[in-house]
Amino acid sequence: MLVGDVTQPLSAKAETPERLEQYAGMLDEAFWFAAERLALAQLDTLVVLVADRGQVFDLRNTPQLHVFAGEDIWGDPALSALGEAPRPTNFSCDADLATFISEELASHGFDISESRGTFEPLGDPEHGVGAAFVEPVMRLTASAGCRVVPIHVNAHVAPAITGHRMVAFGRALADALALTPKRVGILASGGLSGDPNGMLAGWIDDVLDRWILARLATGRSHDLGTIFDIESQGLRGATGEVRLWIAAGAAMEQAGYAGRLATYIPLHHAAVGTAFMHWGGSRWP
Amino acid sequence: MAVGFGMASSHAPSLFAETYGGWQRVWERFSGGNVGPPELAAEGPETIASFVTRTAAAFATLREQLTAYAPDALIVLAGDQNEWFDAAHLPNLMIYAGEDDIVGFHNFGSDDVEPRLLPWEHPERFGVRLRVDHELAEHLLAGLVREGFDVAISRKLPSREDPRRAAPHALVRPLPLVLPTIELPIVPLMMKTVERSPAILNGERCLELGRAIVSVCSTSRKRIALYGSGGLSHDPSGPRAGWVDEPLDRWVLEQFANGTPERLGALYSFRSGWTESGTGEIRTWLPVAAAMDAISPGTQATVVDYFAARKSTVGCGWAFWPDKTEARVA
Repeated sequence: MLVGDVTQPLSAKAETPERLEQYAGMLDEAFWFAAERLALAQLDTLVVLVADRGQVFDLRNTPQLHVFAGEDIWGDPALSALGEAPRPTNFSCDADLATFISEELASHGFDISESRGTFEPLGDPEHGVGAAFVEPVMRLTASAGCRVVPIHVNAHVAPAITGHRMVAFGRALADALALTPKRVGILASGGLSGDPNGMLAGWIDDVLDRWILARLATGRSHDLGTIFDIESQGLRGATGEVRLWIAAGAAMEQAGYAGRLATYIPLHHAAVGTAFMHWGGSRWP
Repeated sequence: MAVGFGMASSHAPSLFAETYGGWQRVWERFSGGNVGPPELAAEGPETIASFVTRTAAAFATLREQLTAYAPDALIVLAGDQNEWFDAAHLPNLMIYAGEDDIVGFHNFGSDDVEPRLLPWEHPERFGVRLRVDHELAEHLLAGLVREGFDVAISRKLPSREDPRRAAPHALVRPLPLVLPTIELPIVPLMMKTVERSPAILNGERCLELGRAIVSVCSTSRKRIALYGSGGLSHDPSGPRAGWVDEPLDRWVLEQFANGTPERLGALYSFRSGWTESGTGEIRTWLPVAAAMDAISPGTQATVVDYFAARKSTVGCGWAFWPDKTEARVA
């Protein structure tokens, strides 16, 4: 479904049913591990960085940076094309923190779009916020029980926000969160390289992915700022969502944490380079 | 050719009424139940008649100046008041870059009769259609994002069921009076202004926006003019309705006239009941001033007119920055 009739790279042949079974196990384990860490962190709120794919926004309004400051948000991640039954899910939001973050970011030169009150998805009023938000937040916060602040970043509609700006945004986000007494975590959901349903669906730029992950693991999110300074077909599609990782990395580095890679799979059948990285625990020396 | 001319004006609803009765009806609608300041009582029929005359002359001056500049397109900085957007979707900066015309309603004379005419019920009389320079809008959008402005993208007009919300009044109300011809295409650059949101551009950011507009437009071959639509101080329907902040307005205009827009960076650097609500629309003037200053440092605006019209709840101003094409080329 994700790759359509796009000619696949030779490496995709290695993804036999047995290998895919193994990958599924690795991903389940990564999710379980991340959820456990999140629960141990005893967060009040989880800030979720995510890129919209025409569900929350549409041609009428596509913000570059958007903070949802309502009381709750909902979405249905079910894939009707796969025969999945509807699974509408609600998430309680931390409107106060969202309002605070918006104000702080705006005061530091970020032109934040915002939503207040009832969640009104423009692009897909029936299904709400996309699966990139619903699936991981549902799995990761099931036992953590924290509220969320959804922050949407434009990664898919040209002209999209630059990588340099995501570095600055991440740092400013960390500075804002440092001012609150709440225990807050950040989740970036999206990427890495890939173009699901696009012209390069199934092709993974594992070289780029590994370079990005290496930079984040060594506290150098700043180096990622130039990625979107060039035009390349390899930077379209899900690869644009690397912006979320840049922001998360910059934020956590600003807070004094190093990234640690848990899992990376250049997963052709998912049409994206799939990685789990976490920050926290010990700070920089 | 790029940017070479700038102007700004108020667009208060009273400014499009020509009778004392019309102004009174607008006051009653926007007074918010306030009795207003003592000066309000002095605004009798004679004063209002002079406001009407001065308004017509001021808009005519802006139109003459803009016509003389002969622009290919006009970038309009304007706020949105629950027209294209509401609290559910509230951009801080947004450019509409679609190909469809903007269709809405002006209110010229709608308050001069009792009961007042509702413009959306008389499209043949009040209808306005504005063309959009789609190409320049895309150019500006891409350039501003590249320069670090988080401009929301709009390529399709919001379809609101309520016809009152067809288009921002900051566009469709004043533009028929200032455009050399209604066919002149515009680029709407919408700014968050009146929403009492703490997440909003401060004065410095507005000035930076103006400088960036000049930079981005410098690669365009078009003759571009800027227009800030909104302000000056006002709080319609709010607790300060009628209490025009005349010292603020005059200080702002003084900076334009002196060619010292950098001093306006202090505006909106703190929160105050006096700088929120409609007064937030002064934001639309700041990028124009900064843009003209970027083209030719120290450029002094001509303040065409200003009056504190309590009955309109608005400090009403008009200004233009002269044609700076030659300065830029030099």
